[in-house]
Amino acid sequence: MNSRLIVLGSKLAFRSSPRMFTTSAARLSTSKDEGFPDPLDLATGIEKKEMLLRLAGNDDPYNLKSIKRGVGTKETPNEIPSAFEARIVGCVCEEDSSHVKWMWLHSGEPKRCFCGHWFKLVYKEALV
Amino acid sequence: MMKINQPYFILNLSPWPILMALNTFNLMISNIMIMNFKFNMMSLMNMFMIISISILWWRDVIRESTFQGNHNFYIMNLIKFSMILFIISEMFLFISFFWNFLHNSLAPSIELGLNWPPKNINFFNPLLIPLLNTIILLTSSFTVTLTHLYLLNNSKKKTIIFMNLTIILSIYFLMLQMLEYNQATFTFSDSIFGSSFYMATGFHGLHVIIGTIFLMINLLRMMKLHFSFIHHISFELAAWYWHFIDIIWLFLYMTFYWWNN
Amino acid sequence: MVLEVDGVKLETAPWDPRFPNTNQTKYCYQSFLDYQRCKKIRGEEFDACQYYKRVSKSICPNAWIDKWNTQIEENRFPGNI
Repeated sequence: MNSRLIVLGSKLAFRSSPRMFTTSAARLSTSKDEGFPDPLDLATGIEKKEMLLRLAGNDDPYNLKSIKRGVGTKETPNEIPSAFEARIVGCVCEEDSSHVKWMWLHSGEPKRCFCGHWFKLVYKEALV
Repeated sequence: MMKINQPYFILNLSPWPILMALNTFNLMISNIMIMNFKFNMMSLMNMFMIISISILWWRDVIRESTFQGNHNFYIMNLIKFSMILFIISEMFLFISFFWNFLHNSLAPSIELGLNWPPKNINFFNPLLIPLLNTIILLTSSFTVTLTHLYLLNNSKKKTIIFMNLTIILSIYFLMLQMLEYNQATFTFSDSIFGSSFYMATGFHGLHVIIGTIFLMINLLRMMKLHFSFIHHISFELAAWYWHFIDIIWLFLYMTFYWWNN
Repeated sequence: MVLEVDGVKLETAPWDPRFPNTNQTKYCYQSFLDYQRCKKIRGEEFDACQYYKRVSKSICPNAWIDKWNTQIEENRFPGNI
C-alpha cells in the first residue's frame, strides 16, 4: 500500500514538472519496435530548417559559399542576399590576388566595388 | 528576438562554467586537505556539487540539442573535432604514465638493486584475470560497434540489446579489476613498481567508469528516442571514447602486465 | 690512477668501460654487489674479492656502504646477492 502511494506520488510529482531529463523526444511512437524516430520528425529549430532547405535542393542554406559574379552593370547589379540591413562584400579584383577588397553594402543603396562591379542588397528571409 | 542567419550556435548565458571552475578548484584544495589533515567533509561536498553541476550542465546541452534543435550539421562537426582534441589530450595523459613506467623499469635505480620487478614483488599471472579483462574489453568494443550498426539500420530493439550488453561487459570488467586489486600482494606504496602500476591501471579504471556512465546516459537517451539514424552524435562520441579506452587497455596489458613478467 | 708520494703507492679505482658516464653511482653499486657476491662464494680472504672491496670503498660514499651493510644485516637489501 505504502509503495503504491509512493509510486502515485512520484507520478504526480514527475507529471507536474514541465520537462524532465528523461522526456521522450518523440511522443507519438505507437508500436514497440518501430525503430528510431524519423530524422525529420525528431529535428526542430534551426536544424529542421536546414534539413528542409537541403531537401528542397538548397545546398548552401546559410549563404556561406562565395558568390560568382554576374554581369554587374548599374542596370543589372549582382544581387547579394541578406536578412539584415547591411552585409560586407569583398571583390577579388585581380585573379591571382590574395587581397580581397572589402566594403559595406547597405540595403537600398546599390554600390560599386573597387574594380567597378555593381552590387545590390536583396532581402532574404532569416533562418530563425 | 534576434534574427539568426548563420549556422553557429551562440550559447545562452549559463551559470555552470563558473560554478564548475570554482568547484574544481575547491576539489583540489579539499583533496590536499584530505592528504594533510584527514579532513574529508569538504571533499565529499565538492564531489556532490561537481556531480550535480555535471548533471545539470549536460541536461542543458541535451535540451539545446534535442529539444531546441540548435545542434545543426555545422555544430555537429565542431563537436566532433572538440572530442578528437579531448581524446588526444587524454592520450598524452596516458603517455606520461607509460613514460614513467618505462623510464623506471628499463634502467631500475640502485634503490631497487637494479632489479625489475623489484625483489619480493609477486606480480600476478598476466594470463589469468588480465587476459580475461582484455577479452572482455575487446568484446565490448565489438558490441558497441554492433550497436552503431543497428542504430544506423534503424533497428531500435537490437540497438538497445547490444548497448545493454556493452554496459554489462564494462561493469564486469570493473568488477574483475576490483577483485584483482583486492587479491594483489603489493600495494600503491610498494616502491616505484606499485606506484606506477596502480597509477596507470587505476587511471584506466577511472576512465572505464566515466565511459560506462557515458554509455549508460546514451542508453537512456536511446530508450527515450532522442536519436535518429543521422543525428546520434552523443552515442558516436561515447563509442569513440570507448574505443580509446580499449586501445589504452591493450597497451597497458602489453607493457604493465605481459612485458613486466 | 696510480700516484707515488714519499714511496707510498696511492691507487684509486680504474676506469671501467661499462660505466662511461660522469655519474658513477652504478659503478659504485655494481662493485659493492660484486664484492658481496664474491664474498658469498669464495670467502672474504679471496684475492679477487679484495679488489672489488677496494673499488667500492674508493668509489662509494662511506654513508652508502654503512647503509647497505645495515640493510644486509637486517636482511632487507634490495639487490640479488
